[in-house]
Amino acid sequence: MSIWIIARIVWLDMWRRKDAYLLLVLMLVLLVALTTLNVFGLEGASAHTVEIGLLLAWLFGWGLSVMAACRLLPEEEAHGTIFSLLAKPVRRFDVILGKWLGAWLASGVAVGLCLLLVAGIALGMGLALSAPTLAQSWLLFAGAQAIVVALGLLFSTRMHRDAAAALTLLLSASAFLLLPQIPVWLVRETGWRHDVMLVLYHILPHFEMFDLRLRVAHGYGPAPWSAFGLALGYAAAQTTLALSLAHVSYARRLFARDRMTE
Amino acid sequence: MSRLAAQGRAAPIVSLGVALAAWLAAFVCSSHLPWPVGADGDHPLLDRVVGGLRGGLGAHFFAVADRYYHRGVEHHREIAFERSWFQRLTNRLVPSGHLHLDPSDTRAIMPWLRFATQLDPGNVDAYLTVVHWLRNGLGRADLAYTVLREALSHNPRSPAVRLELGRWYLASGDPGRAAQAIETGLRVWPGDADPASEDARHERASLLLYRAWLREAIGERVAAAEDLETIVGLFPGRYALQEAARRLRNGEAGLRMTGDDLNRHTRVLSADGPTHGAAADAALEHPH
Repeated sequence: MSIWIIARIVWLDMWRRKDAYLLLVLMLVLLVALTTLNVFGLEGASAHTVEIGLLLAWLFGWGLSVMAACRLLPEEEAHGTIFSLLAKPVRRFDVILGKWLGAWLASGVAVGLCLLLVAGIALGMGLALSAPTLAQSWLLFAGAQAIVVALGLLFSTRMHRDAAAALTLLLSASAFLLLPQIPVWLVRETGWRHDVMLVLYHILPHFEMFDLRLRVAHGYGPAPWSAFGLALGYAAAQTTLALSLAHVSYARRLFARDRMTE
Repeated sequence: MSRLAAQGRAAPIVSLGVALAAWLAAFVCSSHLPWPVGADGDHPLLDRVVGGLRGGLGAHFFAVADRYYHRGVEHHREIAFERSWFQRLTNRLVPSGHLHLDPSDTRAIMPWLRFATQLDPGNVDAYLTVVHWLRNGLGRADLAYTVLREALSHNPRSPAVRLELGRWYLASGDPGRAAQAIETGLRVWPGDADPASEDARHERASLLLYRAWLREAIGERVAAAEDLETIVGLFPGRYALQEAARRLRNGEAGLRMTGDDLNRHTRVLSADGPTHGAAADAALEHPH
């Protein structure tokens, strides 16, 4: 029960901050600007607006997840509210889980709104996106966000907000951009570099599997549901691992009033 | 105080959004502004500083256009392993196969090619790909001409652009201007390329083939035969051209094809990349 209460407080706090509204307005402006692009004098709709819109939704959702996750615990400590929170019959694991749930739901819904905006603009230009594919894209990205939020919480159990955010951004961006390249690099690598890369390839989260932007933008139908389910299962496993580590780290954390800093 | 704190917390997201907005606004504005003629080389220091980045981004967008042409499927690359659990799962989720856009749907690749040419006006391949699909996919020869003029203003020393301009004039029924464009193309050849490179030699062969065809059309058979013999000198073993040159010297019809045949069979570029190799032979071996 306490998990839901904490999650609700995080949810309300996220929407009160208006970050998501700001991003939505910004996205609307950018997409409208894109539709006015002069492309060699050709008129009419094009899939590039959809792909760039989806990319923006990803970027905004990613930034929102990291910022939301990394500030929650340090803020509680900086304001001293962690003492009153832990004085209640709440386990530290409940705090972690509640914070994760609230941040994940809020950032996931924000991305859903961004995707609806993209779909609306596409429809306005005469491009009807496949609803099941779009839904899969959203849910898979929500899976990626679950991992990112959990990683942000994990790092923020031992770091202040900015350090945790920087590390989460770096790790998730590296994993998304570099991990799919490792099989290409391994063609030429041997020795210890080969082994290190192989280990990284298997332990870091594979965010590329959550990226269905091309499937949506190029008008493919939904992905096989079995593969979709497996990817969600993988997201759940990675999230559970990160939350477990966060719990272990936070359970051993000592708080002192004179050392509270954001 | 708390409002100030909240504003501070939103700062990273706002910065990210503003940076993206500025980047896109620059694109949108630049697409509405005309390019100054001879812009390249006017600011050598600036070109040196930003040239690499601009060229790299331009090449990236050209690659995105290629991916769009293949309906979102990336080119196959050599990889150390391809059956890991992650790869098998990702391959089931992302589009796969070897697919092409229908020529009439090639409008989808145009924005990426626009980005590529905006960032790197020296990317002749991107310009020629635009021209190819405007003419052959979308049936907009009028826009193709505008793009060719723009390409020429940025790349006055490019033989490939001159050749494409010549082909455009030929398709428009203006052999006089086509001849001028081809002649200029041969004069500026090899442009900035290495004259010994395979691409440059094929480019020259294509220009010579067109000039030979145009010369034959106005009755200059000996000059046309000389052009064909020059091509054979560049690429020994092109017996069809050798035979055409012999016929021309004997006063017979040498290149037995129409201008449309020539244009169709000497496609300089497609979205798959340069195909000017063997253009001359292909034109003669399969004229119909």
